[in-house]
Amino acid sequence: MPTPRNYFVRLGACAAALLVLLALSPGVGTEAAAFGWWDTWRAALNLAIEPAELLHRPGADLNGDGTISQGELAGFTAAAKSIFRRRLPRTLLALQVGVTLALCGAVFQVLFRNSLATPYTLGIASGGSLGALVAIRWGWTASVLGMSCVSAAAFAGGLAVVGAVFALARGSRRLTSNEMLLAGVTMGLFCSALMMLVTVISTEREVFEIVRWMMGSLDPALPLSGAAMLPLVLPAWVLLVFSARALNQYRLGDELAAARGVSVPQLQGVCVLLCTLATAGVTAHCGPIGFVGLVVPHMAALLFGSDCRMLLPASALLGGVFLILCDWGAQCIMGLAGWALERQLASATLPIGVVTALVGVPLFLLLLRTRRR
Amino acid sequence: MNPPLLALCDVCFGYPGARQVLGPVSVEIGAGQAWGLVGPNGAGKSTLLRLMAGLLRPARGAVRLDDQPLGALPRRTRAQRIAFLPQHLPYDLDLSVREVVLLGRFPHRSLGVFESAEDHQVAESAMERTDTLPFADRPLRTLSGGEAQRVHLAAALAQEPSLLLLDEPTASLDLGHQLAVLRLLRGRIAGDGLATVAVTHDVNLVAPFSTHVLLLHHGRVEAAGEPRQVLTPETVERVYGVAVLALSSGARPDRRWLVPAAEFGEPA
Repeated sequence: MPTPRNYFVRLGACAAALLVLLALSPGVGTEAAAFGWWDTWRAALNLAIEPAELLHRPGADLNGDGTISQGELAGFTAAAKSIFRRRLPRTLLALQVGVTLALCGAVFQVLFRNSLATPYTLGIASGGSLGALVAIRWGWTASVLGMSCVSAAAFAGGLAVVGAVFALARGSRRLTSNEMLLAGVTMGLFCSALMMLVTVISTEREVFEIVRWMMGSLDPALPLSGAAMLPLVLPAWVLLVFSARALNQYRLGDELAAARGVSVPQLQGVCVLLCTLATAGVTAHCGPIGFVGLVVPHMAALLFGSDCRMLLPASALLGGVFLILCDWGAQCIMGLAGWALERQLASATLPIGVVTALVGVPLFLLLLRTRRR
Repeated sequence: MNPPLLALCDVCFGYPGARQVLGPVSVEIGAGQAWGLVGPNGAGKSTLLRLMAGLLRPARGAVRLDDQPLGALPRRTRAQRIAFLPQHLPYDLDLSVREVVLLGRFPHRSLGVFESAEDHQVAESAMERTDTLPFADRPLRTLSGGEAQRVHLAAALAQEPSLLLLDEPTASLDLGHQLAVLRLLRGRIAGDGLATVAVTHDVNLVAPFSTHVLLLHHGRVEAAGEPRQVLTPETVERVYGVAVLALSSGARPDRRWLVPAAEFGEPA
């Protein structure tokens, strides 16, 4: 049960971990560079770097004369700055995606009263993938409202499938009913069939592209793609965390919650709308990154208990931590693999979806073994 | 004279697409009264209870709480006055007993994330009154059905209502646990002016634990009033279609036990 003290201590610890990762993140990447995270921050914030500090850095003393000239210092600073500008936005993107998916996953698990629910339960991932595939197959490349055409199509596809699921299950009127889940699964299968159909008339190149898209990627397609998501994800973060107390009542059942003064249809409607917009936005930009939305809420519940007041913000913060760490893993593993295999690999980073599952499964099983009473 | 706590005046109700299932029903529930709501399956007991709780709106007629229309009250205000325990309660929650009971404080806090000292004090006393304090820190899902039922009862008491509505509070319990819940309701829980309305199927256990009984049949009030006058062998036979005999122990001639005549009467 959250008391003010354990609430702020635990969430503060999660937030601190997130901040540390953010601070360190410009120092982690695929390029084997001579820059520490501290150098990149100093370069980005235009703080002075002493030439003497750079003497023993590989690559800083370009002409090998044992001193760092002004020119060499300027070159080092410029390179550090460009690294910073490439890596920090990527980490911020990972943060947004992780927070959103984990928070929406936690909310969906409460909302559907089903511990297997994920942000994709209503079919956003399959609808988004179909949209992306269509955009790739027919070569739509224009950008729409700051989004690439593939992203816009994926966003529209995700929303369309959720709309179709609600239209199909409208007769039941209950979110927790089997009709709703069945409609979600059915629409997912339908989208998969359509995707196979489109795949048959696509080139190998296009098929490869869509398969890569579905593995998820944090390489921003457009420089501003992270910022474009904010209007979708920020309202969801704030409002969902604030509905925690009502969601606690909702867990007791529709009738008991209603008798305690919660408007159940309103709560369900607002939560589904917010989660759908945020998840569709994230998926449109980064592909359907799996596992975060399923496992992080369970981790948060095992660590801190399942009271929504704690569960929702903790899931959000841990989701950010988890995805940033996975992204580091994705970038470093390929470097190690290339070094071990002694050849250049086709891709510099592992698809993020592969890492979330590879890291998440063992971590989750470990938690399950050690914490379950 | 004070207005009754809850007054139903010619209340009718029908679910969408179905014929009218209830009404017209008129009844007045006063503070401190303990009502038993009995009747055959499908008589409309649960529907009537939900109309009293404000979870359903009457098609015709009026439900008034302290002489104010119930439907006009804000949801939270209504929840501060009326607590409702549905028949199917969640038993498999990860939350501890104390946390479940504290959830009952929801209508009393519009702002603020954390429980106040007063919330904790109210929850503590609710757990004490329902004998759930000994396992206050165990997870709800480790309790037996009877214990969990009392925990939900404690949560309803933590809501500090004037009226407590219960839908078959003893349905899935064995005799010992049934009596424990009923004795709590009649004994320690009543007494401070709390009125209760409990739906039940047991025409025998309702009498000793109720001040009033409402007998529903086909959505209408067959009889209402003192238990002894409502639950006579004649009304029970008319409503349930079962011939019954009234038995009484010598010690309490004012109490009687209704048993089926075919099994307990003269062999044919």
